Order: sequence, then C-alpha cells, then structure tokens
Amino acid sequence: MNTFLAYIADNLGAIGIALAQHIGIVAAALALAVPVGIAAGIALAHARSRAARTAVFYLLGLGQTIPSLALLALAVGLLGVGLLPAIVALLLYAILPIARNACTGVQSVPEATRDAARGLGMTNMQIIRRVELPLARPFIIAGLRTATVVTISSCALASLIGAGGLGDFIFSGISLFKPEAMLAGAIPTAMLALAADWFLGRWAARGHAVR
Amino acid sequence: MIAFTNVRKQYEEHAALNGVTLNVEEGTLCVLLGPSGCGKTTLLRTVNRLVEPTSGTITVNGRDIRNENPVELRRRIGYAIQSVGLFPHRTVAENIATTPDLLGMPRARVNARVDELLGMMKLDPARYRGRYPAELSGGEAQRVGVARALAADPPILLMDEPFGAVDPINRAAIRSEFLELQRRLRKTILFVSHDVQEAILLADRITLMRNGSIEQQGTPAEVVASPASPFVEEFFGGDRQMLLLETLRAADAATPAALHAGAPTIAESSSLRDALLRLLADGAPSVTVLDADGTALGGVTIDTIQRQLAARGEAQ
Amino acid sequence: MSFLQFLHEYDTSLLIALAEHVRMIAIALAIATLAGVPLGVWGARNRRAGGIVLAFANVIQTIPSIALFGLMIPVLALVNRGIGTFPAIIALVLYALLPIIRNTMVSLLAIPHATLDAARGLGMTEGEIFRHVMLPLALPGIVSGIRIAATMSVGVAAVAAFIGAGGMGHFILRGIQTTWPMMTIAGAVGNALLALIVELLLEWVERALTPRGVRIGAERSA
Repeated sequence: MNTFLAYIADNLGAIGIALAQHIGIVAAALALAVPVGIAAGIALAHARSRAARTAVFYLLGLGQTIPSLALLALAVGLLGVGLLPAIVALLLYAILPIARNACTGVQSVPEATRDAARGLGMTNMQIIRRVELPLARPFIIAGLRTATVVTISSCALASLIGAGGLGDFIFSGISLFKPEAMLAGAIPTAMLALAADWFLGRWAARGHAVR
Repeated sequence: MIAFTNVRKQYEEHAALNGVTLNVEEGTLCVLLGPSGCGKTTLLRTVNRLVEPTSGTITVNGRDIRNENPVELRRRIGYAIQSVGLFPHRTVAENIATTPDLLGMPRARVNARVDELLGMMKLDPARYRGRYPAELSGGEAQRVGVARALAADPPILLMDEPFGAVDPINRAAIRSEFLELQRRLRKTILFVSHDVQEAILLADRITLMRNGSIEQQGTPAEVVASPASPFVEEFFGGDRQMLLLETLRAADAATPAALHAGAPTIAESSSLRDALLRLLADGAPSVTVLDADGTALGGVTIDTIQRQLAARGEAQ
Repeated sequence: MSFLQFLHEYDTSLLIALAEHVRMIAIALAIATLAGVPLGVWGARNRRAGGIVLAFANVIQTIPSIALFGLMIPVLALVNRGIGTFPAIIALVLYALLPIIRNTMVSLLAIPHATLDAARGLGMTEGEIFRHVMLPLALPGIVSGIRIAATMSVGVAAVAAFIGAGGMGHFILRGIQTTWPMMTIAGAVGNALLALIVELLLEWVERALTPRGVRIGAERSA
C-alpha cells in the first residue's frame, strides 16, 4: 500500500499527462466518428432497398464482434506504429455502434409522423433535422455511450502500438511486474470508463424524459 | 356447484373482496358483472386457487377447495381468459391438448378430442390443427382458448372476458355460438364480464359487483327490472327499458288475439326487443312469432310490449 | 517470406494458440453459463435482487479488460496466481456474466403474463410451467446472451496474452514486440476470424432453438 502511494506521489505528473493523452485520443476519435456515424446511420435508414438495409445493418453488427485488439493489430501491421494508426482504428470501431443506433432511431420514427411533416410542407432535409433527429436522440445517445466506453477501453490497448495514454502504465507494470504501476494505470482507466458510462447514461435517461 | 361463503381478500391496504356469499347452481351460467376493479376477476380466480382468499370458504361440488391440491383442482376446472394466453410455441392442437396431456390421456383419444373441439368451435380441424397462435386472427385465437378450456371436459368453467379482445361483429357471432354450445353442454360456468349486453344474452343469473361486494344478484330480467340501488340503475344506464325487453321472450308475451294475417314473422328464440325493432322497421301493426316448425305461436303488438313494461313498473 | 509461407511455417504454433484460446473461452463460458442462468432466473423472480446483480455486472463490464487485469493481478499475486490462464479465466467469467444474466432475465420477463396465468390456470405445476413454457420461450434469448458473451470473450482472451495466458493474442504481442507485421497480422486475422465464426455458429444455434411458432410470430410482426 505504501509503495503504491509513494509511486503515485512520484509519478503524479506523468499519470496526469497520460490521462490527458487518453482523453485526447478518445475525443479525437469520437469527434470524427460521431458525425460520420450519425450521417451513415441516417443514410442507411433511408436506403431504398430493404434487403440492402438489413444486410448493411447486420454487417455493422458483425464488425462489432471483431476484437478491438485485432483491429489495432491490423492497423499497426498496415500503417505502422504511432498515434495515427491508433486513432484510425478507434475511429472505425466507434462508427459501428453510432451508425447502428442512429439507424434504429430514425427507423423508430412512425411513418405517420414523417407523413404529417411532409404534409406540413417540410423538405426532406427539414424532416431529418426537425423530426427524425430529435426523435432518434435517445437512440443516438445510447450509441454514443457504447462507442465512448468501447473507445476508452480500446485506447488503453492502443498504448501497445505507441499511442500513449493510461495503458502505458498498465503494460509497463505488467512487463516489469510492478503492481503499483498497474494500479496507477488501471484505476484511472476504470474510473474514466465508469464515469463516461454514468454520465452518458444520465444524459440518455433525460433524453427519454423529453420524449 | 360452486358456493362462496363470506369470502374476503385483503391486499395490504386494499380490500379486493369484502365478504362475498354466492351460489352458482349446477349447469347454470353466472355472469359476474361490474366496473373494472370491482373484484369480479379476483373472485373468479379464487375458485381455482390462483388467488387464495384471506378468509371465507369456497366449495366446489360440496368439497372445500382448501383441502384440494391446487394443481389437481385446476386440471378439473376449465379456464379461459381475455388475453387468451395461448402458448406461442405450441400448435393449436398442442394448445388444446394441454390439460388432457397433463392428465395423461392416451394420444389417440387426445387427437380425437382436439378435432371434436375444433369442430364445436367451427374451426376446420384439417386447416387449424397444425397452425401456430401467431397465424390466427383474434377471433380464432379466442375460439381456441375456449376449446382449450373445454378440452378435458370439465364440469366447471371459469371464463374471464373470454370474448373481450375481438371486434364487435365477430364477438356477437362467438357469443351466440357459445350460448348454443352451453345449451347443449350445461356446464357450470362462472363468467366475468363488464358488458351489459353480453351478460343479458348469456347469463342464467347475473351477479353485479362493486368495490369487492355483491350489489345485486338475480336473473337478468330481475336485475334489469328492479335495480336494488342507484348504482345498479346507473350501471344499466338510460337503455334500461330496451335491456329489459331484451330479457323477455317474445314467445312468452305473444297472444292469439294479436295475430294479423300477413304480419312480419320472428323466430321463437327472439326477445321482445327484436319484436319491437321489427315493428318499427316494417311499420306493421303486429309481428307473428313462429316456432321451429313454422307454426304461429301468437302475435305481438306495441300494446303487448307496453303492457309487459307496465307489469314491471317501467311504462311511463 | 510471404504470408502463406508464414502460415505454413507457423501452422503448429498457430493451431496450439487457437486451441489455447478456444479452451480458455470454453471453460469461462461454461462457468459463466452455469452461474449466470440461475442468477438470471433468480433475478427475474426477485426484481430487487435482479437489479442489484445487474448493476454490479454492469460495472464490471464497463471496466476496460486491460484495466481489469491491472486491478486483478496485484490481488491475485497475493496468492501467487497473478499471471497465466487463471486470472484470464476469472476475468472472462466476470465479463461473460453480464450478457448471460441480463438476457436470461429479460427473456423470462418478456413472457406475457397471460401465457403464464393460463399455464397455471390449466393446472401445470411450477416445474411444468418452467420446463414446458418458460424454458422453451426464453431459450433463444439465453443463447443470444451466451453468444454475446462468447464473441466478447474472444477479444478479452486475446488481451489475456499480455498476462501470459497464451492464445492468439500471443502472436499479436510477439509481432509488436519484434516489429514483425506479418506475425501481428496473422494473430489479428486469426482472432477476428475466430470471433466471426463463434458469432455465426451461435447465431445459427439461436435460430435453431427458436420455436417455430415464435419465429412465425416474429416474422409476422416485422
């Protein structure tokens, strides 16, 4: 216990930087994944062919079953080590749940509601912005929640391909068998994921109340 | 026969049944009528011990049900409910065969029984036997629900709004088919309803409930003609005179004196309400009631109808 | 060296890694199913307890896998089991519990009240209701939970290579450590393929276990 506290005290600055890096990588990946994912989800929900819609939706789900470590490893194999391949892999991975949920959300809008909006003279863009997006909001937030937790988790693995972040402490702790380093990385990572999940969960619940 | 003696059911703060005493005679159909929350469903569910009363006694054919194994008791009592509760993973035939199978009836007999019941319910066995509940319309599902309740040929049936979830046209058809069936089978039936028309059509006796107590009981004619309280009067609403006419058989009121040549005719089973509607529709002075062979039993005029109402204190 | 040559060269060790990987997952899933299904049944009967169990499993699920290892190793090291398959299987079981418990609970609670009331009213015993009504109707949902747990386990088991549990993750780790992309890619592709195969296989099992009448109902309402 004392070793642990001493380690924390000695490395407080480095842990802070790693935490900031971690959040930065997650934010960068999500900043791109959210607009792309939502747009893709809306486009998918409006796809003409029902068969294509079902197939793409299914493939997005199948993509989510690919382990994040495998995806990161592929990125390093194809793009080399560093920050960029890590962000690319995390970004691609985060798009999947966001797109799927946005698609489900838009599809949950009753046809009668859409019809009424059209009858009131809204253009297709207006229907998307003023009717579909507000109604799909709880679904979109749920997708964002999944994506955020998954990205925080995968980002801890991204340290392995040289992206930095809290994973650095966990991995060096494991390879040197220094429990204090493991904990110094693992505790903030776990807290970060739990906090994001809790925060977005509350936001989603509020979205439901508005509905 | 089902006999309730001072049955009470207390749920924490709320009394669902407030000391109910009621007899349902063998071979009769008793409708438990009342607004939602009056305790009628709770009372029904005490009979097969889905609800255990807080106090009081219930006997079925003279035996106190507290001394019976609930599972065996339920297998001897038919049970049909509004939402039907068909098993979605079982075919129509398997659904109907539930209780016979539980009782260990031989396969061949069960199959024959399933076909017999489907026929009784006016569903072609060859077409319906292998279907799943998801492939049935609401009316078909309710018919299967009733067939399932009758499957083990129980002398007693509990029915909780069994025709509630069908559209009005199909409901009328299922009701009259069921009434015909009951005239043949003479089961002892406890039937929950909130529909006055349904109660008057089906019931030998009506038990009107309110807040866990019996407000009034009697034959449909008695209850409609002489409501015991303002609540009962209000429950039957402004249509009470029409309802009363519905409880009276035209054949009982018809007289030879009222026979007119060339008058429109109605069947022996018709009510005085049917007679009145016929008089109004045809603008005729009289209708003739015919029996099954086409023999005239007598005539009914507006005057006959007024006298019938007057005799029950309803003419103004 | 081409990729095919690589696969040929390392075929035995790849197969051994695959076997280690599958073994870890199978053991963990067996334990998680044996524990999770009863917990789910209990949770469906006792909603308060169910809520607590779910909330607890949800917290564990949210903790990133590598962080969970980082938290577990120092504790398990006290009994000298910090490294290897033992902590890996414990972590896999903990992760697999949530989807299994949740799906069991949800599938049981989704059975219409009228169906259960009818079963009881027709004179089925509690055991018969469970066997003939609840289990067949809830089974596809339970298997769906096992499927979600299984695909997730493939990924977590890969991470477990870092704590010396072996498996396909070992190739990824070695490839990165020795900057040999081919080895990394071999591990990654193998890992991804395994996840997809597990997913498709259990999807098939789930469909096969869905009663025909229920499938027809789902198609009609779709």
